[in-house]
Amino acid sequence: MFDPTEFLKQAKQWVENRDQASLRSATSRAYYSLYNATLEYLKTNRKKELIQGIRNENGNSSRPKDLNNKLLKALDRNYLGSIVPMHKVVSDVCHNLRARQFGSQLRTNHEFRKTADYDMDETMDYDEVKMMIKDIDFLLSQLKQKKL
Amino acid sequence: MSQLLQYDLPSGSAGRSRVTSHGSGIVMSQHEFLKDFRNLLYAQYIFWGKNSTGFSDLWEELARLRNNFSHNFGTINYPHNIGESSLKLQNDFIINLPANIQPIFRELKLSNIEASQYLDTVKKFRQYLKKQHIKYSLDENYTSDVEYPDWIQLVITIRIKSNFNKVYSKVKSKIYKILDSTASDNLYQKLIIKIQSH
Repeated sequence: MFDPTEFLKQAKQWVENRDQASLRSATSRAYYSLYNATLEYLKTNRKKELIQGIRNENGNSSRPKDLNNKLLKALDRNYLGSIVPMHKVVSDVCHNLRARQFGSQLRTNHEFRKTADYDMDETMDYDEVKMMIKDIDFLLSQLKQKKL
Repeated sequence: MSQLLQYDLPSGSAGRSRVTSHGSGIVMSQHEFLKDFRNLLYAQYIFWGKNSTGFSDLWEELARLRNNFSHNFGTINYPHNIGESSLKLQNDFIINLPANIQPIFRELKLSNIEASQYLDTVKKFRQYLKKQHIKYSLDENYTSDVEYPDWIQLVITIRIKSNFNKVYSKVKSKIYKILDSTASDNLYQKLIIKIQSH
């Protein structure tokens, strides 16, 4: 299985190129290293809370879907992505685990990632991307220490 | 402003009193009305202080109403001015929000108390940055997700105008401390804090 924290190593290399394509790619990879590592952490250590978070999100949706319990309990990636915004669910579950700041930083970095990938008018800043990578490094270390 | 609740409580009404809301047609019980009104007063207390104009009179009136309600279920009389005062308090919170945020504040299912918490949070961010002599700009906005347009979040962007690398960690740490002390879970969950260089 691929270790998502490898994405962060790649981001650390790319950011030093300092050109816009590298800064955008670094931002995106750094976010996905955190998102995927957090999702894997929740699947392994907080499966019950994760499933409840998915149920809650679907229940709160303006158009809730009938859930397939088998696929839900198997945490089937394609299925989950088709019923709820998983990036939101992951940050909400962290929030509900009383890791409010962790959840908030996930959402903030998700926002930076969206800017990097979709907003071509924005200019990415080297110092900001460096700080983002530093923050994500710290959050990943919290996951390794099982602080969620 | 069209989303604001307007209380329409006839004197001597029993059971469920009608509280209308433009668009949503919410019906609120007397008990819910009093709870909401009490919360508004409490938010007023937190945000503007106990001695703000009219607060004491309203607080006493609320105590009288609650007492009346407890002893005379279903026969409470709502003076017309209480409905007006309540609406005024709601207006105060909403009007003080930046114009671009006002329309989506209700959509985010944030309460009047959370509106006051939001205002308080931004005020404290500004106070802290000013006190530290940090040159900054602060922008308040909202964002929705490309893939999930229903996922709307408030975004506070603080742009540091000098020494970004030097102050970033300190500012971030303090900003989250402020947020921890000011925001409910519901508000916290709907806020994105971006700290960027200018």
